[in-house]
Formats: sequence, C-alpha cells, structure tokens
Amino acid sequence: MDIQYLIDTFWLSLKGIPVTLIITFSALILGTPIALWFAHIKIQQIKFANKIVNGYVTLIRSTPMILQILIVYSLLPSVLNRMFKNLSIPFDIFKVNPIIYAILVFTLTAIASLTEIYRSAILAVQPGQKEAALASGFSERQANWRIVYPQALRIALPNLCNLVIFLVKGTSLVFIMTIKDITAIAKVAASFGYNYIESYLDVLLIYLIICSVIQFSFYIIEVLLDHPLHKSKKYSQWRLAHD
Amino acid sequence: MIKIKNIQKSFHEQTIVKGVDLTINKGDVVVIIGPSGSGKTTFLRCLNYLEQADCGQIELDQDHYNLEQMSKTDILSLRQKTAFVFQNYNLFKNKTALENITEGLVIARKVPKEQAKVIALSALKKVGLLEKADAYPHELSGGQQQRVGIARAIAVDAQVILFDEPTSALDPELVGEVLAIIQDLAKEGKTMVIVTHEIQFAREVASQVLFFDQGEIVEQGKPEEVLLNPKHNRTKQFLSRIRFAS
Repeated sequence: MDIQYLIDTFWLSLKGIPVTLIITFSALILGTPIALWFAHIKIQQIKFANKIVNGYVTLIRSTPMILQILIVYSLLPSVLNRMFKNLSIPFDIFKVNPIIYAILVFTLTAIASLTEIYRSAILAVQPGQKEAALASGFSERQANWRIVYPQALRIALPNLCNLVIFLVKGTSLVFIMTIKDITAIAKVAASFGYNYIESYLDVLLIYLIICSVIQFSFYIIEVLLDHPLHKSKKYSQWRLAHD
Repeated sequence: MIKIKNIQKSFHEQTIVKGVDLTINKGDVVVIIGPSGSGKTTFLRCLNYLEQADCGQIELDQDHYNLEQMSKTDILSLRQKTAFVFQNYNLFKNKTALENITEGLVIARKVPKEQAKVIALSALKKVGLLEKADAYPHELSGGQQQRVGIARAIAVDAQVILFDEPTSALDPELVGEVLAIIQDLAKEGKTMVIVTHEIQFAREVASQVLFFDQGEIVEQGKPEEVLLNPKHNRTKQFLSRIRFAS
C-alpha cells in the first residue's frame, strides 16, 4: 500500500465533488416543479394525464440508470445533430459539455422518484388540514401552499434524504460520459501505476463523508422543523412593542 | 336571516340528505341531534360547500347561492361568510394558535397583519387562552385546541358559525370548558348551527332543535317541545336510548 499515493489521490479526487453536487442538486431543483405537477395529476387522478405520468414513472423506475446514461449519451447527440443539420441550424452538438447530459438523465430519474415522494407525503397530510383551510376562506392554491405543502415537506424529508444519497452515489456512473467526477479522477490516477486499491479506498472515503454530511444536514432540518427556534417569542415580543 | 332550501346529497346512489329546508333568524342557535349516519354532519358540511350538494339553495342576507352551480368566486364568498368548527379541531399543525386565527383574516380576507393580530388576540382572550398564543397545536390539550378552533371561527366575524360535534373527540372532563364558551357565544347573540350529542347542553343553549333521521328533519321546534315532549316515535326512541335525564 502506497500511503503517499493514497493521501495525494484523496486530495486530487476531492476536485470531483463540485461535479457530483452540481449534478445532484440541479436534478433536484429542476425536477421539483415537474414532480409537484405530476404528483398533483396523480392525486387528482386527472384522466389521461394520470396514465402518462404513471407510464413515465414506471419506465424510469424500471430501467437501470447506467442504461439511461448510455442511451442519452450515445443516442441523443446523434439525433439532435441530424435534426439541426436538416433544419440547417449552425450548432455543433458535439461541443456541448457532457455534464448537461448527466443533468438531464439525473433530472429524469429525480422527477420519477420525487413524484412518488411528494404524492405520498401530500396524501399523508390529514384531509382535515385542507378542509380547515378551505373553511377559513382559502382558495385551493392558498390551502395547498400555506398548509398542505409545508406539512408534506416535513413528512417527505426522510424519503428526500434517501433520494439525495441515491443520486449522489449514482453520479459515480457519469465517468462513462467522460465527465471528471470523483470516481473518474481516482481511476485515471490509478491507471498510471496500478494503485487501484488505494484509489478505491479514497473514493469510498469521499462518498462516505459526503453522504454522512447529507444525512446529518437532513437530521438538523428535521429537528429545526419540529422545534422551531423562533416560536414562543412572537406574541410576547409583539406585546412588548405595543405596551 | 339565512334561508336554506331543498338541500339534497347522495353518495354512491345512496341518499344521505333528502331535501332539507331550514330558516335561521339572526341570533338563532339551531341544534341538530340525531343518530349516527342520519346525515346531520353531511347537511352541515353542505352549508359551507365542504360537501358539494346535489342541489339546494342558500340565501344569506342579500346573497343567493345555488349549490348546484357554484363558481369558484361563489364558493369563496360563501365560505367567507360562514365559519366552521370541526370535530377533530383541525388546527393548522404548522402554525401557532395565534397564526391559526390570523391566517383566515390575512390570507383569505386581506385584513392588514397588525389589525388581524389585535382581532386574533381578543378572540383568544374570549376563549381564555391568551397565554397560549405562541403554542403549537401539539402543545395544547384537546379542549384547548377546540377552544382555539372556536376562536378561529369567531375572529372572522362570520354570519353563521357551524359546529360539527365540537365535543365528541374530547375527554369527558374537557367537554365542559368548550360548551361553556359556546354558551357565552349564544348569550352574545351569535348565529350558530350546532350538531351535537350533548342533549342537556342542547336544552340550555338552543332556540330551535332539529331531530334528524335518515336524511330528513323528523321533528323541529323549541327545545322543551322536542326534547321533553317529543311527538314522533323515532324521536322518543332516540331520546330514550341516550338516556336523557331531565
């Protein structure tokens, strides 16, 4: 075991962390509005649209991510290239940063998972909460955004944490798209002197750290939501100001 | 004055409410009693459109609502003129007691925030929970939650407050505090419709008692008449079964 190599490669591979985080969080942020819309369609059981959403969720959930990556990365550029040529649009698709394709694949996956996470969380909020909001004169939209969704978010947190960790680990596959993520950097470094064991140990350590930080962050968010720091003060402060 | 005409509601081809008419004068306290499944709660929920009636009309002062064809604006306007107190309180779990009351004012009725706070605090004072203003629902007892629920209903100054079995989910020793508040509201002249199983309370507070069975009003009148000298057999049976001790 080459200890010096182990340490050097560890620091080198850390440079892959931004790529991992960019792909994961872009997917979550881009996927959330669409997933909320899909969840809404499923809950309301809107004819036809409901079937499309179900089909989409099934398709994405039942195909391995590596297959989705291979299909998007090998098929999409060629198709787009032909399309641009036919329409005589002067745009070189092969110069697009492959991270865009990675974000696309991870967003597609995130939408499918988030749809189910949001749907189950919204359904888990007691129906009486929405009824009370409607009875108070709220519109459907106000009732959802002020009462139902905040409570659903709290219920969804454990599943969201699972998804984030799943996506982070999934990003180790993007090396096949020539993206230099943590795994890719460590593997390339190892290929010079066959220090694969050391490289894999480094990668293991880095994912362990990232995922531990994510788990801890979610734990903190849950604690904060369950025990808001700002409570117990609002009314008393207000009364002080007005006495 | 509130005029309710011919409210009908069925679920899966089973008729739950069979064309109920009711006139409520300002300051009236209408108490609805009746066996489980008699449609009294469904009828109450039709009155603020939580349940969509198959047909029926509501006249609230100058406003006329045809429950068969309600636009979104109609629904909002009907709900802003009524207030509802739920059996399971249904306080917003993510809001403090104070916020539970101000939400309906600020969000639905566009009352300025500071003004809403003043109204909400006076409502909390009325139900004796001023010191719990910043507490979240899970920090309150059932009776306290229901009192906040009532404060939420009185703060919006609705033309009628609808109570759906307000004490049915409470421990027996907490029922009294909630009923006492409703009694105070009756003395103040608030117009209310109350579905309840508390017969003694009905007798003390009601200006009109309705006995509901199988989706219709079987008997209707002053509490002494309906509760002490019921004319219909079904009313007599019901009252004897719940062992009404005068």
